[in-house]
Parts: sequence; structure tokens; C-alpha cells
Amino acid sequence: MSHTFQATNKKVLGVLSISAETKKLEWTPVSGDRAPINVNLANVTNLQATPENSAKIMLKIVAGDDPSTFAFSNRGTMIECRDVLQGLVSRARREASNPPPSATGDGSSTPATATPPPKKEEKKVAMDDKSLLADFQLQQTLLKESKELGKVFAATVIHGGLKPEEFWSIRVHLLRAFALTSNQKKGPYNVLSTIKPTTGSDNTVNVQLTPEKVKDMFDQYPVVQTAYDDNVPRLKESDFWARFFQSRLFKKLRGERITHKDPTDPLMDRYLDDEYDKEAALAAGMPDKVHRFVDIGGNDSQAGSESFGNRPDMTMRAGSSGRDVVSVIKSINRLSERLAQKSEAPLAEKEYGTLALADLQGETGAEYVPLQVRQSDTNGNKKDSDGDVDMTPLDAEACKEYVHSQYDNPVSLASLVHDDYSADYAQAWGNVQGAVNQQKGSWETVQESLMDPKVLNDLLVVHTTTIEFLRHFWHNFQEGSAECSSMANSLAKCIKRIDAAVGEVKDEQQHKLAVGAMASVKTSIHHALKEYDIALRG
Amino acid sequence: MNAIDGTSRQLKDTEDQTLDDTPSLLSIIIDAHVPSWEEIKSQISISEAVASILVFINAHLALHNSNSVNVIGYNASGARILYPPKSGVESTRSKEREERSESVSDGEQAPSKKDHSMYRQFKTVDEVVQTELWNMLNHTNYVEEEKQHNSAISGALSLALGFINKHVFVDESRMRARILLLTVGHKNETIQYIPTMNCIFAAQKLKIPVDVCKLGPGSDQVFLQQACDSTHGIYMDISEKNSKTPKGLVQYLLSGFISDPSLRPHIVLPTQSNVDFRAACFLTKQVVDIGYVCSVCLCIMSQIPSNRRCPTCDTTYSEKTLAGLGRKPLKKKKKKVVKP
Ligand SMILES: [Zn+2]
Repeated sequence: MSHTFQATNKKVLGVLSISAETKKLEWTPVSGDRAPINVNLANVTNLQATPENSAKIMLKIVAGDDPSTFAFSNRGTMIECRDVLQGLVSRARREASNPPPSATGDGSSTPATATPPPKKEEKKVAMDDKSLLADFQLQQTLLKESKELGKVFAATVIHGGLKPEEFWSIRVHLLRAFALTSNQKKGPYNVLSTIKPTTGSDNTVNVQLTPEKVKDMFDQYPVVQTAYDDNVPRLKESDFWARFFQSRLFKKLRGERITHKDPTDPLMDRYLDDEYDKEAALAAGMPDKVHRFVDIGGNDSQAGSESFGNRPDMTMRAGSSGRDVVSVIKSINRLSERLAQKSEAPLAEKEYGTLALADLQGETGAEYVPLQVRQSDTNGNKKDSDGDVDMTPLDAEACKEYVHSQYDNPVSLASLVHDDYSADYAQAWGNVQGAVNQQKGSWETVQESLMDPKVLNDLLVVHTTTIEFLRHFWHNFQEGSAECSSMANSLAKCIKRIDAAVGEVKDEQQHKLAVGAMASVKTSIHHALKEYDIALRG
Repeated sequence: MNAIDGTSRQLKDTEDQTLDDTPSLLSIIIDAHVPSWEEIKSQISISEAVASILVFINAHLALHNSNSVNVIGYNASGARILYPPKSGVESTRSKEREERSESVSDGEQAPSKKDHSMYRQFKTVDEVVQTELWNMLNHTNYVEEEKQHNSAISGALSLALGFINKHVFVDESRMRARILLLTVGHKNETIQYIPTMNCIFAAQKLKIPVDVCKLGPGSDQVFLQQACDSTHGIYMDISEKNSKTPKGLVQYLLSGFISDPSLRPHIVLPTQSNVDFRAACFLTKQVVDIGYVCSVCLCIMSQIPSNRRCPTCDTTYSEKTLAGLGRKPLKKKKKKVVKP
């Protein structure tokens, strides 16, 4: 496959041809005695095009320290030439850094590897506590992103008087996680799966296409680019796409099965042929030699299960139905591989090798870390060691006697039922009913007549704030920090805040619910303050 | 009676529990710790309790002809399955028992009296359970047993879950299952926290309700309450401590615990509403208000372990972290709030 363009070099008109096979750019003058220019694409270090608003339409190709400039008659040609060059140059460079494996006879052990694309420069984000705590921008974004956290921040820092540093000091892990997630970039995706042609009312097919999508399509499906290159000047661009999206080729690339009902299109159907795809496969850097372990073709030379009369696997069967499926599988596989190569973190060669091999193995069970739960005898039974529980010595004889007497005088089942309905039974029934009523009561109050959403919301805010202060209190408490006293004050304020919030609920039923809802957090505060008191005095 | 009707409540988790004709398996765990029974003999005798349980079992069997039952006994020295019997054991034991009862009494009061009018399935269960239970009660060395403080409740629960797993889940018999634990409980009883919690989680996962009926004076069994709460079982404390009495046990069983798992979503259960959710310290086995939690395995401690290692996962805690937990001027070292 080669591309030719008309281009002028140093005022001499010539033909610029770019060949994918030889990976060379060649410019030959139409006339005159100027020597042709040859550039090895792998050596190209820079491509420069004149800006859109410039009157000149030129492309500068820098290979080594010898730049050559070509002028074009129209911008479209130049852009096309530039795009072709860009694609081929990067491919040539990739291959140059990873030369294709040389054939060393049959059964060479060249592993099937992906060629890692050149590493992009990564923006390093500092992940240590100090820089995370100092990154106000990050904190602001996180607060905006997470509404819940924003609410807590507003209640505690803005209205509650907590220092922002304090607030973040116990949330460094959130900052770190957020910094990591927000620095992640989306990898390449299968572009055809995002294109969904819709049929309009006038029976026309509508497709939303953006320049990015077209570029991605060319990138991911070289056969589309080939088809486009071959036809577009002849065919109107819009016609080309219209025919493409209705073609069998489109269906095939999307991994759908082609049926005889699908319309044929001689122009597009040419590209269904594997010839075009094979080229794409080669261009994508498929190795000629496959590791024997994963070499399915190698199965032929071995006594496989087929020689024992088994039908070959579906993917190994020749024939019309099988080939469709196989080519779909192949093209999807190729695409996956290409996408994987383009993703930000390319697999190292070794990893890729293990992946390819591990892929063929069965599932491995989950691994667990055994926890050794020891029954510590030393302090297991506090009652024994302290001896503070007075153990009445066991009267083994009495027990024995009791069992024997019981054994000898069993209660007959009939006597349980035959007796008059005794007071015990009545009481038992009463107790069961009581429990049911109590359950029903509590169930009704909690579940059926829910709290007023406004009340609930107010209480939630107070509750979150209180929990926040409790966290800081205990944090400071253990560290023995001087901040502890101010936190204790804040806790005292929290009680007032809770009381105020509960007091505002006027409805009797709602008030009761509110008191109940806030009871446990109040207990926690009182407990904390008590501990603080003891610690201060002790 | 209308109070029981809870059909007004939302029927959640009931999509897979259509009210069909599915039989159910009842696994009853009976406390066979003799000193505990001896302690409450003024309120309920062991044989009355046994008779009550048998009536309950018969009632369960009568509800559906494919209903089945599994009975497990436990004391401090261990737990074992009393019913169904191991094949072969049944005949010899009941024969032995028959001979014995004839030699001791005139045989008329013995539960194995030859009452041919009784439904055969009832009779088999009654005889085997009684024989095996008395056997367990008689052959226990009470003095040796008393040295053990850990009760075998977790062991009994494991047996019950194992039985249910084998007969319901492995055999795919399309049965529902539930566990009823009848515990007396004694003062010095310590329930093993981790094994019991593991059983609870297993039951919760398999959607097996665990019901608990507590008869005796033992301390409040926090974990058993949690077991009932998390498995949607019924917890009833009918001991004197709860100002009730285990007299009339059969009435409690028949009115409180008979409801089939398939009915449970539709009725209000006579269970206790306020459950204590606190956990026990792994070191001292005491229920804790405020304690430390291992950041690796979530093991709960009420104090910093003396060897500075996690008692469960053996993680060595860094000196820095530990130092941060007990700085001056505040001497007390407590962490995380566990809300009741
Ligand atoms: Zn641990």
C-alpha cells in the first residue's frame, strides 16, 4: 500500500510517494535534473505543517539534521499527506525499536508479545500526606465532587469552628484516593460500538460522526481507512459513510454475524475479504512466529484429539459457517490487542507472556490468609484467675440424683395437654402476645410513620457534625494533644446543638422519635466527656 | 390475635419465598447441662421440658407430612446429634431402655410404653430423642464438665448448620430450615465469641432463622440476641430474670416458635426488640463499650496486648502507633466508640 501526492520541493514539482511496506518516503521530480529525495520513515524526528491561516501550504519533514520542505497546491492534500505520514512514522518507529522476530527455523520460541508504545510522560502527583494536606485545590475539588463530605465540611469547619487541617488530617486516605482517581485517564475504547446508526422517518440512516470518531475509526480499523483512501476522492464523503454504515463490512467489524439478508454493496464488500484484513493484521505487528505453546496451527502436526475421531473445535473448522465466526473472533481479538497496546500502562513483555499462558489455564481458587484464633488460656477466664466470682462447689451427687429421679418419672406427653388450661399457660400466652404487641408497636413507630423528612435532615446534619467532633476528640485524646480540651468544649456544644435540634421538633410523636434517634450519640458524648474528666484528674 | 397479623408491613425479601407447599426442617438444640437444669428445677423439671419439646416436635411434624426434625444436645463437654439416630444405634438403645425401665418401674409410666394408637413417626422421634437425651444426661461426668467454662453452643450450632447443609442444600431437597436453641444457661457460661459469630454469619447467609428460647438464670446472652436479630429469628427470654417463668413452656413453644419460616415475613414475631450489639474483647472475652480494633483483621481488644501483637492475626503493631495511643498528659488509652 502506498500513497502518492503532488508536492513541490524547492520550487520543483514532483511526486511524493509514501510506502507502508518499505517504510520509506520518496520524492521524485516530474522533470529536471534534481536528485530524488529518500527518507527512511523510522528516522523522522519531526513533522511540521504551516498553520491553517498561513498563505503557504507546506510540510516540513525533519529526519536527522536534514530537513526537507514540500509545498502542496491545496491544504486538503497536505493534511492527508501529513496524517498518512504521522501514522506510518509512528508505526515505523515502533517497529524500529522492536524489530520483528527473525525466523530461526521451524518451532522457534519467539514469544507472542505486544510492543509497548513509547511511554508518555506521566504527570507525577505527590501522594505523601504532607503534600496532600497542602493541596487546597485538590481538597476543594473533592468537596465539590462529594456532596456528603461537603455537607460535613460545611457543618463542622464553616459553621462548627473546626480547623480545616484538623478536618483533613483524619481524611488523608480520602484525599489520596481522590488524587489517584482524578489523575486517571480514560484508555482507548472500541469506537464502532459507540456509533449507533438510527433510521429516520424518511428511511434514511442517521449517524453522528465527529472528526475524533473518524480518526479513532481509522486508527482502530485500518481497513476502513484503506476503503476511505481508495474511494473518497471519487465518492462523496457523505456517500462513503452512508454506504459504509449500511454495509456488511460495518457489521463484520462490529462483531455481528452477517446474514444473507444484509444488503450487498460491491464496493464495500470488497473489503470483507481477508486480504485487506491480513494486511491490517500484519501492520498491527502480529508476529510471524507464535510460541509453540499457544500455536494452534501447530496442533495439526501433532496427534491431536481430531485423529481420534473428535470433531475439530469450531474455530478450527474450515467451511462457510465456521469462517464467519472465526473472522469475527479474529477481528475482535485483534482490536482488543491493539486497544491494550494503546492503553496508558502497557504490559511488560514478561507480563504479557504470562498472561497469554495463564489465559489457557483453569480457574484458580481464591487465596485466603488464615487467621490463627488462639484460645488464650492466660487471660481467657477472668472469673477463674481473679477468683472474684464465688463458685459454689458443684454438687455432683445432687445432679446425678436429679437426673435419675427425672429419668424414672417422665412426664407423659398426654398429661401436658390433658390438664386444664392452667394459669401458667394463660400467662405464657399473655407473654407471647405482649411481645407481639410490643414488636408491632415499635415496628409501627419506626417503619410506618416515618420521621418527617425535614426533621430527619436536620437531625442528620447535627448527628454527622457530632460524630465528626467525636472522632477528633478521640484522635486527640489518644495522642494526648493539647487540642483535646478544645475538642471537649466542642463536644459540650454538640450536646447543646442536639438539644436545640430536638427541641425544635414540636410535633409530639416526631419529638419522641427525635429524642430516641439522638439518644445513642448523646450517650457517646457523655461517655467521652467522662473519660476526659477521669484522664484529667488521674 | 389480630396483633400477629403483620401483612400490612412491606413484604421484603419475599420474592423467593412464595407460600407454597414446601416442607421444612426444624433443628432443635437442647441444653443438656444438668447442673443448670437442677438449678431451675423448682420452675420446670427436665422431664416436663423434654415432654414439651416432644409435643412441639410432633406439632411440627404434623404440619406437613414431609416436615423433618433434627435434635442436638449440648453441654460443656460437647455437642452431639440425638436425632436422627445413627443407623443401628436406635434399636439397641431403645431395647436397653425398655429393659431398664421395666426393671426400675412397672413400665407403665415409661414413655416407651407400647401405645399402638400413636402416629408412628411421632413415636419413633419421641423414643429416640428421649433415649439419646437421657443417655447423654446420665453419662456425663459433671465434675469434669464443670471445669469447662466454654459452652458448646457454637459446636451445637455448627452441627445444626452442617445437618441442614447436608439435608437441604447438598441434597437440594427444596426444604426450608430453621434452628431453635433451647438454652438454660448458667452463671459461669462463656460463649465462644468467634465460633458463635461465624455460625451466625453462616446462618444469615443461608437465610436460616435462629430462634432462641432462654429458660434459665444465666447472664444475658448478647451473642444469641444478635444471632436472632441478624437471622430474623425469635429471641424469647422466659426466665425469672426477665420476670417471666418457664412454666408452661409448651405454650411458649407452640404459640411463639411454631411459625414456619415461610410465614415469618407476614407476621409480627414475638421477639425482643432492644438488642445489645456490642462485641466481646478477644483477650478478656468481656463485652466492651470502647476498645481497640486491629486494623488488619478487625479483632476487638479492650486493652493493648502485652506482647504488642494482634492476638488473632499476629500483626506486630508499630511502636509509633502504640506510643501515639498512650501519651501523656492523658493516661487513659481508649479508642473507637462502639455505640450500643
Ligand atoms: Zn489483627
